[in-house]
Amino acid sequence: MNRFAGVLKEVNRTLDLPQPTRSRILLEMAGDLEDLYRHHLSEGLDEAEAARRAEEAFVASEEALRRLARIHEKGGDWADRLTRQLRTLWEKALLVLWLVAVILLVGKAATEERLFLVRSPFVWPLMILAVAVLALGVWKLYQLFVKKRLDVRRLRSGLSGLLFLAAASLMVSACGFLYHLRWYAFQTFEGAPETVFRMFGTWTLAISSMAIIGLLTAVLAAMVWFVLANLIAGIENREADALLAN
Amino acid sequence: MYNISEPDISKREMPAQPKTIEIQNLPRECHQALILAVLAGGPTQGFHGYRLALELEQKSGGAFRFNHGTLYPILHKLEQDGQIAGDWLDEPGKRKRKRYSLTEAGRRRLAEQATAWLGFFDRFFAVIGEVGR
Repeated sequence: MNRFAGVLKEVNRTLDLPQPTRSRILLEMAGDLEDLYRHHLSEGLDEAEAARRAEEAFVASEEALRRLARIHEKGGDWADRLTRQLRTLWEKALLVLWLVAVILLVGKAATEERLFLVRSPFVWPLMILAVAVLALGVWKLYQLFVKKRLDVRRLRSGLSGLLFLAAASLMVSACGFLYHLRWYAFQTFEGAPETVFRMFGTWTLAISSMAIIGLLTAVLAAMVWFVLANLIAGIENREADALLAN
Repeated sequence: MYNISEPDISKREMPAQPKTIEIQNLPRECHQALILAVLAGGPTQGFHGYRLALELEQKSGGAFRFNHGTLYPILHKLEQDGQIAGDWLDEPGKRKRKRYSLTEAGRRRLAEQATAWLGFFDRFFAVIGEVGR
């Protein structure tokens, strides 16, 4: 039972924010409320008076809470909005299916010989990015499910890295596309007419393999991020629910 | 206490009851500067939200008293702007708590704010000083 459930419930009711953000604010307030309560106890107040004073100090006006909501709305809690915790079993099953499909596609693409018939040099950095995505995803899942490390703030800290890897993968693909386009343009310009079709074939093979790997890596990174962010938001929400329980 | 009298200029008399300036009525920049200043004067690992409010109250001799509920918008804005950094602590047997510390950007902002407020109050007292005495 939480002695400050009343105040926290009121904040939870008033704050118009996605649940993960709201849960973090509630956790912060709960920690501070408890500390202030202990501070008043150390000053010699009895439990009831210490709790009353701590609660009194934390009663936030609606205006203050609206301002807090505005700050988080403006300030890029878009990730929390995107990862509103999946509620139904269907949503979860669909997400897992989608993730498995993406992993299988990446695996199939990476092992298909024909894909690398004409290998773009940009394929290698993309492969490194894909390995980094998988390594980071597996590491986070290991922390969550094997080590049972439920310190969500630290778990969350590496998640933006996945989005960075997704963006990097798209960037490398875009750079590769421009590089190959330029190469093809020069070769066509300087080459004999009969070699143009062969060059076009070489070019399309090189950029298609690169684009496939680049896009799949980006999708994979985004999917792993989405799954992990949802798992972590779930833990945060359960912590906040425990705080709000009478 | 940070008190300021409201002089009746026409009669040049001091009011019987000087009014106290409430911190809630001061502009947001002032709140931010005060919080940055408390963090700058505190330990390097920073303060928890509740401790920050208590420190500010103590340093100002009880004059600047923040309601903790109104403190969070200011803290979160400063954190979002990169002037302070929030760090979660997970100590055994205790609730998870968030601690704030000053960043380099915050230190620079504080220096700017200190200069700006000093300049402002120099001019402010240059105008009202004569009347207030």
